[in-house]
Amino acid sequence: MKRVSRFIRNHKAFTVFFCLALLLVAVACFPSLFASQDPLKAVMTDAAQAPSQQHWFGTDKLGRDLYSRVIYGTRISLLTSFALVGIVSVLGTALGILAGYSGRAAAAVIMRLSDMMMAFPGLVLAIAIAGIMGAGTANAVFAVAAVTWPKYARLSRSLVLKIKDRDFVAAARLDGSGTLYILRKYMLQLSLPSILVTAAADIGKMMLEMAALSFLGFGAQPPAPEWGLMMNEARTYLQTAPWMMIFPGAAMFLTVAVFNMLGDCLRDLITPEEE
Amino acid sequence: MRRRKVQGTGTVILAAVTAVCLLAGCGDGSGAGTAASANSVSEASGDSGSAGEKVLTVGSGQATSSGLDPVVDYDGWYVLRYGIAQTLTRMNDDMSVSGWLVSDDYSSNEDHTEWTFTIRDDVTFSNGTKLTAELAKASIENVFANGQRGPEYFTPTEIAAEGQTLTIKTENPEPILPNKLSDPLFAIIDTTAGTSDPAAEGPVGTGPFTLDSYDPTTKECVVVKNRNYWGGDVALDKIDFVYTEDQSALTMALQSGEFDAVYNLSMNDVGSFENSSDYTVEKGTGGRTTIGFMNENGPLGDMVLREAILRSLDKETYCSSLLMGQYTPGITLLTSAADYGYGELKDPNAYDPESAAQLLDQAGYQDRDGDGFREDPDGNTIDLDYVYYTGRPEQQIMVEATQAALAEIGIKITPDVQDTSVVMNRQKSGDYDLLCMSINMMNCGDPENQMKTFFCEGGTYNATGYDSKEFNDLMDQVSVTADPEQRKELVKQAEQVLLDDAAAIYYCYPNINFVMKKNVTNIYATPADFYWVNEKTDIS
Repeated sequence: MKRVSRFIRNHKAFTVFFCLALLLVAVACFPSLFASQDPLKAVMTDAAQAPSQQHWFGTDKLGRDLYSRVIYGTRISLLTSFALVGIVSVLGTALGILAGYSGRAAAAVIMRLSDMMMAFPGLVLAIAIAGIMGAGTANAVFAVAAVTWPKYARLSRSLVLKIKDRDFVAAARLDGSGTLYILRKYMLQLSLPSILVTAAADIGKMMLEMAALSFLGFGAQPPAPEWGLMMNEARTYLQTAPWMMIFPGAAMFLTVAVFNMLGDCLRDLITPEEE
Repeated sequence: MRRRKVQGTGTVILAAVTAVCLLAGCGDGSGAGTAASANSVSEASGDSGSAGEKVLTVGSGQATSSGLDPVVDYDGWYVLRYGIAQTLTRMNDDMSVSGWLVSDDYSSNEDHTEWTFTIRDDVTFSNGTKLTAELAKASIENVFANGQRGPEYFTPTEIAAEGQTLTIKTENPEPILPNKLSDPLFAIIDTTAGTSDPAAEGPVGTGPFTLDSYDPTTKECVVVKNRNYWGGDVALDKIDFVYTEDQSALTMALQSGEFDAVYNLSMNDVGSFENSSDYTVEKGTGGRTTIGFMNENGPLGDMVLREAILRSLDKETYCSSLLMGQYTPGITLLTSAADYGYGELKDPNAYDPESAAQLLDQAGYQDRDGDGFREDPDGNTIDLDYVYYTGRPEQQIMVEATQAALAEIGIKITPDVQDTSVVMNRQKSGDYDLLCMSINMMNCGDPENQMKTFFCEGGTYNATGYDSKEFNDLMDQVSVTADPEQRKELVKQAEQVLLDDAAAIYYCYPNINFVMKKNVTNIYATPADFYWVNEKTDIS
């Protein structure tokens, strides 16, 4: 207990943002506890109503409760961005470690592929991929993953290159350790802190990219309560019903800010020597 | 630590300054309340033209599907809208028809199989060539030789030209041939002008403007003054027609002064312009109907499903609430603005969501897998692809309202937004379950042709598989009936057949608007919907 309270005292910012992130995760896991109405229930006679006691954030163009849609939107945003970060960090790290540790041929193939993907502007390529595959959340996740994994591959490869010729690795080899064991025990373990910090900092960015794709019509599709999509739907009502844009936008801003700050704090926590 | 604090403060200040700059950029420079008077006359607009030129920029969510050849698809509409070409006759605001390139003394024989028109003596094409009956004949023949929809209007057995007298003999009686010739499909163009690709180069017409440039990618079309215009001086030097389906972009471009006028502004925004003294809003009732076509070559082949869909749609509320009261709820195929049975015909599938669900229950549509949506009686998943475009503001919201309403009775709809040209092509090919489109059913001042095109067996845009002998027979009778009252009665009967067959969804009857800066004059929102500009269109 003492250790916990000392940790909190020493890492106040991290604790605050971690608690806020936990709250957001709780909202995402149990939206029905926080939402006041069904986010898909359209009461068309209540279309485009301003915020009121009945509808805290007002209603959208089909008379759906905006507060409930924003709450349920947390689930889609967090789920897709966590899934994205998970996919790209696992895939990119695995490929990067493989490229760094194995021979030149594998490295050449993996890294040239990665160079190729990085030569395109990320979002533009994601739009192209999503455009070809068709609009939808799963396709948007795939599209963003396809343009993001090289970052992790390059990072993990550089970390592996840094340590693969160190004495303890040579000793492990002499000791008869297998390649898989070395990869897991040394390469992965030593790369992990940097990868984790990068992944944590990327959650916010992924959220924005997914929302951008939905905003452009390539991600979530109606009637999904997704923040990017909600903002797109609000564009034509910007002057007459600005709340349709403000609340999903604010939710996105706050969520991205929380995860970005958490990522920064995590970086400070894991790599204190850089301070 | 201190350095970090300073950095943090700097970041906050930088963020604040950036936010202020962004908000200032988003700010409404002219606003619905303070229209910019500049930009229009090119001294102010800079690159719009040389000094002293009068240039007008018009924004629209509508554009050609494949170019400016009037005989292709509905591209003739734009040839007329942009003031490049004209037709022999024209539709008036009361939906009657009178002479335009012909004098008003046109006549027919008793059984309406032979019509005689006198081409006006003073009409010239933009290249200076005089319009003769021979050239008018060549232009009409071009419709049948190179177009697709000509035979849906009439079948000529002989077109004769002598001096300025044009005689058209038809296979069947054609009591409303002058109306049909007012359709933009029959825009009069100079077929001897040596235009190798009229779609890209634009036709040589008799209108007050000629094509300066057309970009097939952006569909932006620039027309310039026709110096040989037969109808007198043309006030404007140039009009730039800019296309974007983004409704908010249209609104903001008008407010910022980038556009001088916008065709069919969203119902969300038109009110704020009406309340502003800096803008003029032209409104027309028109003959449009926003239709949801139901493709019977698929799950919607089952009439029970179509009936259930129709009964679940609360069109009154859609119009009063979602469309801000700017549209009239649809009942019949033909608009309430025309006297074709809006208040008389019986809709067997009026709004009744409970009976919609009952119909589906009785027919064996059930949710067997518990996903909240019903499967068909054979257990197949139903997921209806609803194709639409956003160029008309009401379409997206009607599609999404339908999606929400049908979800209530357990029918799944997937909206499928596409470009206008893609939607037109898919309407022709039948690649959809549902397709939403606003159609001007009264574009000749009479609904005969559009009813044939969209609902008769073999109609160019009837890919729904709808084929009713009763309807086809009635339309055949309409074609040869001269008496206006009798025609009307037959059309009403045909409309009732469509209602009884649950052939399509009639969402609403849109009003057309043209919003323009106060200094813009003579831009029109007419019932025909294709007479946007003329020689008097001006900007001060």
